[in-house]
Amino acid sequence: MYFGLKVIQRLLLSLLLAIAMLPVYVMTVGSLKGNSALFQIPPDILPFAFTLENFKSLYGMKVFQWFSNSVIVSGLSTILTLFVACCAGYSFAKKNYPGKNIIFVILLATMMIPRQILMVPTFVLMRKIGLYDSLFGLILPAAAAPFGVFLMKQFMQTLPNELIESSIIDGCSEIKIFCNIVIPLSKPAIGALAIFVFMASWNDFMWQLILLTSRARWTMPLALANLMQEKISFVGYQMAGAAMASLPMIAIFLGFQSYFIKGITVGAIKG
Amino acid sequence: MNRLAERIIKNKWGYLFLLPWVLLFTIFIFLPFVIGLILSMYEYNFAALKFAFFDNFILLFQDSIFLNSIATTLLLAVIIVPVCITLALWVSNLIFNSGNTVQSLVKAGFYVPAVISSAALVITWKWIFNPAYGLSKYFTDLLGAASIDWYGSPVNAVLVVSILLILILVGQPIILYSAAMGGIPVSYYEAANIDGATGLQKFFNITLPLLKPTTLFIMVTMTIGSLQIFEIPMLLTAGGPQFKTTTILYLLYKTAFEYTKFGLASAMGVVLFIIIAIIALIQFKYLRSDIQY
Repeated sequence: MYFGLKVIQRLLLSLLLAIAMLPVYVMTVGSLKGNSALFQIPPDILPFAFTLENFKSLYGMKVFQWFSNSVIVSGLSTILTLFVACCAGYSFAKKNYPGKNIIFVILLATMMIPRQILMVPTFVLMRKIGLYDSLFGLILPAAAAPFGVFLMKQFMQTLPNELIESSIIDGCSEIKIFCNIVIPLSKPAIGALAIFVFMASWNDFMWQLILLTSRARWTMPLALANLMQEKISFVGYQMAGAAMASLPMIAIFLGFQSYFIKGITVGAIKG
Repeated sequence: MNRLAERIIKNKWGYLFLLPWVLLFTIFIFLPFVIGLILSMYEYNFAALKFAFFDNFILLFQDSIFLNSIATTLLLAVIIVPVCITLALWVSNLIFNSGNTVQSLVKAGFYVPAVISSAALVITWKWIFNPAYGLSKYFTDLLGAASIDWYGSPVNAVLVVSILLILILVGQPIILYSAAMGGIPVSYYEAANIDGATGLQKFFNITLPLLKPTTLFIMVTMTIGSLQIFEIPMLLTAGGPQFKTTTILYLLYKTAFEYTKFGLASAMGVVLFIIIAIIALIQFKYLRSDIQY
């Protein structure tokens, strides 16, 4: 009887896993089928009889510009965040100066500021300083996020001080110590943060919705949302768009799974 | 004062490394925060800026749609957080003694929905749960039942939204619980085995209590996250039917960008910030007493 319970649980788990994977399956197969296939009852979603017409139509709608917008925003956000987080994390982890603790407490408190209170004022601010409807309006605020600084600080604290002290004795300049010792040793954390930021930035629908308006500036998630409304009956196009937006992320996730999981657990378990 | 200035100059590199982040933070987080507080006391809609003191707040608490959105948001949180925690505990416990490949597969499988953008997920979800075509219609046809109107009734709409959200959110707790379970000494389980404990007894008396810090952490972060749900209700149900799946953040968005009432929306933001801050502080205090740094 006990054995039976285990089997039932395993079956249930497989079922739930299948449900979790269902959207991925639907969008992959759906993107390769004609529009009518998805309206049939029963729906034609078996993995045969593929067609590329959905992707051709998307190409005609200039989907690659939206895709490249996403790449630019995510890429630059990642690079800027890494730079800022490494510098600030190093400062918190290895330097001491008056006011450090106060600023760190402010950092912690900031991690709790919800999007609600920043949504409207950020929009207003961006309009005033001319970053509205600009990709940089997404890139710059992304690097201000406290999470990256927190992660890098936690990691860099584990680096041995002796290494830095001996470098100082050897006459290394501050910048040299940072670039040639601290950064190379921090590669695991940098890797985890990079993947996190890239992905979060790619999928960040809310800010993209608020800060970008013109068609030429759309990112993939925005384009998808508009596809849902404009091409409401062309489900095939929607699926193809969804696949284009998602498959790169899935590939990155699967490829860098270990970095990812490390990032999640380090951020959480260390408190 | 002179000594302080000396110390600052002596430690200038500490400040210099901090500078890029402080600059960005001040302009793009601190400044908007302050503007948000100020704007909540004005009426602003691009055309005019009029001081309104606390009028916005009074308006809010008389608005049934706003109060409704708070109820809806809390309802979603109350559904999603316990279900995710229970599910994650069950899954993590189930795969804990399986091989590495099984664990990686399950963890990855449940985390993938979190990696895909909400818009893409909604596209597939809308098709799966469409009353006129799609998978759910196919299944109800098979069973000879009438096709379910997922978006017409509040109960169904909340259900559809909740299930999708649970799918997205369950991956992270699974990873966290799996990692935490790895930290429980095997000797505890061995001792329990000697005493003849059943699987259930081991789970409830060893595993669960030792996972308490992780559970509290997940509860705090998930609750705060649930209070900020925005994309799924907006894209899947447009907050309907009749505002029954409208979350606070979605209503805020509508107030600001569809009704152009930026002052009122800012006031909403302030109210919700206070609610979240209180919840976070309470849970944080409760959490600190259990965790050693």
